[in-house]
Amino acid sequence: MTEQYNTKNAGVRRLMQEAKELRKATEMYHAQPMEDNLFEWHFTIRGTIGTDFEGGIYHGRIIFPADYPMKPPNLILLTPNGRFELNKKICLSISGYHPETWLPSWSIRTALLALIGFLPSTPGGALGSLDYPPKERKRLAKLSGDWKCKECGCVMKDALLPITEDGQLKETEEAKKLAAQLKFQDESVVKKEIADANGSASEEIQSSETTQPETSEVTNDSSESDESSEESSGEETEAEQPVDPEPAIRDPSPTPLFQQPARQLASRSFDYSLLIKIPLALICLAVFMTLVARRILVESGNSFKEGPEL
Amino acid sequence: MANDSDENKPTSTAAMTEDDLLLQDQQLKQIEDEQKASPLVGDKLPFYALAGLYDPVSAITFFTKANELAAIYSDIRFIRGDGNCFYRAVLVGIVEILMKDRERLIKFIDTGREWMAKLVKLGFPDWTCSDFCEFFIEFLEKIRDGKYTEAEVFQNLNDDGTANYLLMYFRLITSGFLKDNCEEYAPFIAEGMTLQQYCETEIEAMWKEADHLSIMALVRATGIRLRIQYMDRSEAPNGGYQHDLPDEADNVTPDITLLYRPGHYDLIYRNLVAQ
Repeated sequence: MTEQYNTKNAGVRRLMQEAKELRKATEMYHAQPMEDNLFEWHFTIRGTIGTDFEGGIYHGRIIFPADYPMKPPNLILLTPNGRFELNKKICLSISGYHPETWLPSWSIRTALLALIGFLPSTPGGALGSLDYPPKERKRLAKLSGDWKCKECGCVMKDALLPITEDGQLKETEEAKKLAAQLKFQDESVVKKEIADANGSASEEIQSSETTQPETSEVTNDSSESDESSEESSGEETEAEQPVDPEPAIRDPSPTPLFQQPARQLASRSFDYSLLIKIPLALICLAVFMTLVARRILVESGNSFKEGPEL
Repeated sequence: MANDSDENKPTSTAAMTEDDLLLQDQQLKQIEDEQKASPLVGDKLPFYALAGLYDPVSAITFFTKANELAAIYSDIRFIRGDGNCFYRAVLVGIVEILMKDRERLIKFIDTGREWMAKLVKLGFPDWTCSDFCEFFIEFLEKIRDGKYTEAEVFQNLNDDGTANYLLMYFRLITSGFLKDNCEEYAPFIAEGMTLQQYCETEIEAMWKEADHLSIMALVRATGIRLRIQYMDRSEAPNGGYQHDLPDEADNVTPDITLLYRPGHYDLIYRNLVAQ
């Protein structure tokens, strides 16, 4: 891998150094570059004790921009977790301030610890977030141990060092501290906020959009959790990802980005009055049909009766 | 990944939000492309190039001022307007001085090492910050050891990856200086923000323009004498055309002179013949 990249390039140098830092798995996290691409990594993190994610081990991808560390990496979760949608880019930034704020002095370790700390936070209807009930999250956490990454072949239960009390305590503290300052958001939300901050011209669309994610999330979540509880013993990947999971994993950058919003749009534009309109129309149709049928029957009966008279 | 939007354009369903996202993507990319069309650090040009930017009829005030300044300044180096222009102008100015002044160069390398230790002590993320410092120190050491020609130095200063890495050193020591002198400077931070938050969101983050406080902090952290030449009379705090930093250095020949036009800094050079 070393020969392939210009090691004089500051970003490459930095990524290689980070790879060295993170070579050994810890109890809480591990991340390494893909063999053929220094700008794509796979990571594994452990859910913290005392949360719905206790016992869970989650896997995902990190996609680095060409000008990392000046621009932030994108994280993508692959293991069903009940907190973040799968195969969607999520961005890390300082919470409460300018959305695009990423500090070049943060590292992959910062991002992973922040993600560990951020898992138990309340999604509050944010785009790309899932609000599964604790029971479902715990179930997914339990199942995650057997989850295997199709791409790098790593099985979750072997991906991290076995857990010890003190080891976890120390890093959990750090994760909590970071999570208090940082936040993860769906990529599209971040972009929108940046555009907002830049005073972009598309204001009317913004306002209509900002009001909608909550409703769309609710419909999404409920439909998805229903699905996954039905297939309780079935394959988890399918359960959380009804829209063809395969290509999304193979060809990550374009597909998940634009396929998923499309899925959401369908529910976003759902007209709830249809719930009343359709049954009403059906009832009217039924009544009409009965009346027509009766009429025909009566008429034919009449004509039948009248027949012999004539 | 920057090409995502383009590739996806034809396949996107005609949904408003998606189109909107794409549009924003494109707009942001366009802004970035426009910025990248000009070099990070321009070549040294005759100062008259500045007057050439203004129309003598519609922008008469700026045109006249540019011509007035041309009597004092001989050259100008345009710096890319990407929010880093102040830090970048100082970086280039300092590197230019250090290339000519070996003694100062050696001293500056030492201060670099001191800053590295200080930043860690101040609680900056350990190895990433040290990495930025080391990168800068190595760069200076290569200049010291004659491993770079002047052309190569400017090649590095014009390469996005390298130059921004070097620039981070200046952002970090600016932030470090304020954090180190927290008590003195905390009162200057706008309400609702701590000095720590201000440093993180306004200084340590890339593409954030420097304000008066960070300018002052960087001047003190580097120990340079800086003159800011204002292109608009009303912009000068003392009612004059220029402002010297640090304040006590008034009437001393500055090391670096920057030209300030609303929202932007460029590097300018005094006309030595006229003096």
